[in-house]
Amino acid sequence: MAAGTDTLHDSYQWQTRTNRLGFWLFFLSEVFIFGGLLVARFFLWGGTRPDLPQIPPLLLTVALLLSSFFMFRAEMAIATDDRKTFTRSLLLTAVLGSIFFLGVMFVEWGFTVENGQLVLGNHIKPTDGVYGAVFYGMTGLHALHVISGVIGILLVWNLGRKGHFSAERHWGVEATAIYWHYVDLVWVFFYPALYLIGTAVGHGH
Amino acid sequence: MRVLKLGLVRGLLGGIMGWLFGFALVIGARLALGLPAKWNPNLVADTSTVWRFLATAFAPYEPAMVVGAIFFAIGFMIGVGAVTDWLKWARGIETPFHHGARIPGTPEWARYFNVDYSHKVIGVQYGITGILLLGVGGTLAMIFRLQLAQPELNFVQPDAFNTMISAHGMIMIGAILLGVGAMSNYLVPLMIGANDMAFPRLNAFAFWINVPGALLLSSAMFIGGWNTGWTGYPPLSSQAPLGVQYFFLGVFFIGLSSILGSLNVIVTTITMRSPGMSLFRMPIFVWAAFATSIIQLTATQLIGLSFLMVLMQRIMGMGFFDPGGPVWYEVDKWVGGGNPILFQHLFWFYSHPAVYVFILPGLGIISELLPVFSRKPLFGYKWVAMSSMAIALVGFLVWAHHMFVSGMSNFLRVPFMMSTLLVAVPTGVKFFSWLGTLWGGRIEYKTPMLFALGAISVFLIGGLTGPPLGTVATDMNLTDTYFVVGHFHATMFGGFVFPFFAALYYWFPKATGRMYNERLGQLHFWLMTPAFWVMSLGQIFVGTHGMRRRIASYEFELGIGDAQMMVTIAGFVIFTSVLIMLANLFVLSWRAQRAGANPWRSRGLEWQVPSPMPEMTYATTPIVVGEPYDYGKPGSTYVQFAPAPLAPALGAGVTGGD
Amino acid sequence: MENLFLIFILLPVVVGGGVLVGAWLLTRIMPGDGKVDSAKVAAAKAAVPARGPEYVELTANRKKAYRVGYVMLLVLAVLTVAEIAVSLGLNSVALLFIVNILEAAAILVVFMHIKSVWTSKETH
Repeated sequence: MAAGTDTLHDSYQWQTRTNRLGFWLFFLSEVFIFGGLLVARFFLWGGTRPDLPQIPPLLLTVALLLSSFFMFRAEMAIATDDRKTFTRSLLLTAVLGSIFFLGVMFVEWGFTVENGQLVLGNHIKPTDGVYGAVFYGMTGLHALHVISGVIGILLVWNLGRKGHFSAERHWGVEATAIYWHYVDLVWVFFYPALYLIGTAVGHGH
Repeated sequence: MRVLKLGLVRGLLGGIMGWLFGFALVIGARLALGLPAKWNPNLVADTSTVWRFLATAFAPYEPAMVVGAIFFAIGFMIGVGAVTDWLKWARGIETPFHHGARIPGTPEWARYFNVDYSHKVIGVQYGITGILLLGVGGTLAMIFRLQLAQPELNFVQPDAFNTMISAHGMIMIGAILLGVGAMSNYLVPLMIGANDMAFPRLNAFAFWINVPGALLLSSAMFIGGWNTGWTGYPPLSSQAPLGVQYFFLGVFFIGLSSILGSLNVIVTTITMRSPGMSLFRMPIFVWAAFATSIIQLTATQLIGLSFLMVLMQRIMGMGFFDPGGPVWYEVDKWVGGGNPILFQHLFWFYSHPAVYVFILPGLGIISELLPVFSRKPLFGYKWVAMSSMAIALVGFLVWAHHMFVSGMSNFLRVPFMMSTLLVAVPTGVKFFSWLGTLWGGRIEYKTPMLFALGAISVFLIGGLTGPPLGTVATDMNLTDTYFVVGHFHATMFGGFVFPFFAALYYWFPKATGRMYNERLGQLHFWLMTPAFWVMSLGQIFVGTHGMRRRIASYEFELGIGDAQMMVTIAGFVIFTSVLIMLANLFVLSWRAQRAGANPWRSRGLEWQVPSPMPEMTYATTPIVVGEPYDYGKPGSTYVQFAPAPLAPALGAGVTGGD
Repeated sequence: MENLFLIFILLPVVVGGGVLVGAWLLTRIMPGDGKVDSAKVAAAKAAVPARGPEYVELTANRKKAYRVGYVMLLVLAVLTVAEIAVSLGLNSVALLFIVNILEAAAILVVFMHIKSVWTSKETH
């Protein structure tokens, strides 16, 4: 038979259920890489943490949690056929996500030039021993997920405003939404691990 | 430009373009910022030979080389067409799924060089790539075994020797992962009565990402090599030649394939079983593949993370594993404090469960074949099924037995020794089941059965040498000797190579419709198995007589020259016998006689359809009505076929809404 | 100093400009040229009657869902404040960890509706 179709496995319902299971397994897999970074943090930092400014990361955390709220709102909006709220909330999510990403890049990392060499580090540099290494490792991997989430949200927004999704068929929105919440969930653990737990150790230069 | 119609060619072109783009991007950014192109201006290319030039020319541009390699993989995947459908989805274009060639009018052979969504094509692609890598790794082994055949030889230079043993290790691991992928992708949908995997596009992606991975891994040998062994421990790997970076990235992409492929296997097993196939009516191989996939899905992330950390330490100076400065509890400033032991924890958290990834599918194949050729029910089906799961779960708790002498905290030794010895219990369950199945059976000694029996004998060697290594007191003396090499090769051959060959012989008639040459198959077996015993016992012998791992030469005074010569000769015999198998299966069989639909009189689902299988394996839905391994029980049936394709509602009803 | 200027001024401009140009390109190259696909919208709307019991139910569901969102926002705010308070005042890692778990559980259950993985009933 050159070509054929599989009626049982072609229905949107079946595919959505399967996709959802696959997506959650992907999350389970990612738990291990983020968990590995947390293990590295506690293994290398122990009961200490680098002494960093506290206000910017708090503001960024608020931005990320707010974006998660708007993402939920967007998903609920399309599930109940409220298109205007849907597209607006998606855009707000993307904006807040971008604020988080740019905030990490320019406030938390910062770019400076020393002796003609491009180096990262307003407050802390990647080369600052284990403190720099773990800090940049954790924020970097998380930021990578944030920026891919923002791209996904923009794609979904673009399709959404052209009427691609409906209350009955919006797996694309749901997938982006749970991915975004997952990124948020990871930050819920990373934020205290980086900024709150342990005694602050200063830069003894 | 007909050659551009082949996805592989387009992928390679895309990969090269991607590599140039990534390399130029980084160098361009540096030049734009007014920085010199070289990171380390002291490194100068050595132009004495081509080999030396390749090994030294790229070293000053290490970060650009890394970014180039990442873009190589991206360019390859775009070029080969593995992401085309997803890019269409992102633009709102729907791509309905059809069974059959993805591009209409593609000749049958060309499907294997293109992105194809059929799990049968992908399974064969995995298998062929795996055998190719097996050949590369095997050839490397032959070269350095010549160096080790006699004491104090000078056939291979120490640097090249280090690169070769490291490459042999990781290329073989890649080959085994591809072989495991071949078996689970080809067999799992067939065995559960599905027409394809749950995510065919992801399946194709998961295969094709292996190709840039394997290319990077192999190319690492030419850009300076690396001298760390396959484990890549820092601090050695953080100062090894440039090749180690391509080794890391190659492993990274092959690991990505592992994760995505196993995700697919799990979802397929959960959602696509035939009506009536409850969990305890699944063929035992499906259980094994399922347990394997759980390990692959989760633990693989950690080898990726550990290698990524060394990679970043090398190019960004992030000192995860660099103790530098004072010890950590005296740190009052941000200097040093890294700890190489962390790498070993993260690395072995994957790499120990990984050996169960390598062996569990093979052990599943053994349990699959024994009942067919003994014409008896599988002894203790549920226990065998659960033992796979138990090995997978206990496997997560034993990683630190690789670190007994590496300086980790002493109090961790005994708990990890106990959990390690615990693995012997579910493995013993499997051995009992195999013996119980063989006991009193009418055994047919066909080639697949011979290989299954050979696997048991070889795995027994591997199994019995395990406890001395898992026990702290004996491991203190045996660690890093050839005893470890002997143990590991026996488990890999017994757990993967022999069962994989058995599976190749067993399913070959199903896949191609042709029967292989039985005499050549027997010749292969009778060359390979005794040779392997000699090789394995020889390795164990030289290990207990003072031969260390990973050294290019040894002294006359050890008195092990003859044993080493035996090991080398046995290695060459094994290599030759595998060539016989390849000739048998892939050259001679095209003129061989046709095999019927069910030459082995198996009860499995896939044997009830014609050979070779049609594109849609199960045009009519199979319904499972009995137990899978009730051989020799009169009147028992495993599967019936529905008279017509089931409608969705009926299908859902029969499965009971699982 | 020039390099500093280069990085702090040019990089945001380049990155921001790149994102804007990318977004604009995205709307251009997409099928339908950025216009609303009225046929699809109409088809989707036809699936839901304009008035009648289904519409009433839909709006009620919508209101309920939005309310859940606001409650979650409040919960997350309270838990974040608790997190800061614990770390500043009590300095107890165990308590901090409990707050984290609560926050994560709320996100998993409400935002990510983890239940949908194992419930077989399909809503969309």
